[in-house]
Amino acid sequence: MGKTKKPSLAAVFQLMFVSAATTFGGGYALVPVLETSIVEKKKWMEEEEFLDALTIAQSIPGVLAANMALILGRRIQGLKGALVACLGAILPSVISVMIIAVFYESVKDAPLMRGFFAGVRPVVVALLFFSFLKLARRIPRRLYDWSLLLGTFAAVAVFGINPFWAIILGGGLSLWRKDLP
Amino acid sequence: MAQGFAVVLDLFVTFFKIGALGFGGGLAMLPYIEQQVSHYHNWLTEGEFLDLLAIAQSTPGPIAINSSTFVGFRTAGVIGAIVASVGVVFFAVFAINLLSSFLDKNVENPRVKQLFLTLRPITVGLILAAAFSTGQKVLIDWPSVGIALVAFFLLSRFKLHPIVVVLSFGVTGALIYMFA
Repeated sequence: MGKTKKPSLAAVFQLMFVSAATTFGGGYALVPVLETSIVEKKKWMEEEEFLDALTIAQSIPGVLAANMALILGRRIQGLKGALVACLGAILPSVISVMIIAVFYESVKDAPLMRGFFAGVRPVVVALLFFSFLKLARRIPRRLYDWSLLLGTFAAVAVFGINPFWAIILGGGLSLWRKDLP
Repeated sequence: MAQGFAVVLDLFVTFFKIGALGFGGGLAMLPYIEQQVSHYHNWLTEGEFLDLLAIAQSTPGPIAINSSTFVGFRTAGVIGAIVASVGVVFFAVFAINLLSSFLDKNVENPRVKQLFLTLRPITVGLILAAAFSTGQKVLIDWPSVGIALVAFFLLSRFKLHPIVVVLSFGVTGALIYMFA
């Protein structure tokens, strides 16, 4: 792990719980939150390690956020870390959805709710673009890498292709590549 | 009681399948979730599924977990909520542990290194795609574009933590709607 630190299980749980509890709009929105906390503030992991963890999380079926939690928890604290982190990522959902499910009819048109989300939703876009710029710094400025990056973007965002196929294509292409530093 | 157990088991199996076969994050998994819970199982009506969409996106946490919790809760109460949420991540717990221990043993393998070097730009491309798709849905008027720009400025110039930015805009929005 180099110069990175090893936190306690409680710290791993707390970080995942707080991150998941304050993230709206799905797994991708969690990426910049975790990156800021784990890489920049707490220094549990280096940027490249984080990017590779994200890559693994996207290559496996299932919930991106839970996959991220499992991988990051495992890197930081082994199997126990993985389970604790995953629990931390799930609990806010379980608690908040049950509460909202009960009161949904009475709160769905409340100005408080509508205002909160009118404020939060555009922030998610800023967050995602910000984390794109940050992670893009780790991509070599070469035609090959940027064609893959922009090709993936176009395929998924413009043509609606499932990200799964981009990962499979990448796996295939890696067999041909011979430019390892 | 026996029937209750059967429903809980069915919830677990269904959400295990959704977790093991769904690719591409929560939003990409929703059509598959809909097919399973509204068409195959009749756990939710079409109208209830629309409620699910609204609730899953307006509660904190991953959309797929929120959806699982909601379906489980509506179908079998608190136990159902827990079982469905655990079911949807169950496959990943094993898959990620197997894959990670394989990768840990082979970090020096040139093929593995090459694989990650190739997948990195794809991973970053997927983040950009998520930013773009969310932007298309969310940035619909000048106030929303303005909020996104100010939020971006706060994140990049002032290095504020994302959580701080999200909650400040949420609270500001709530106050404006309540008193305006």
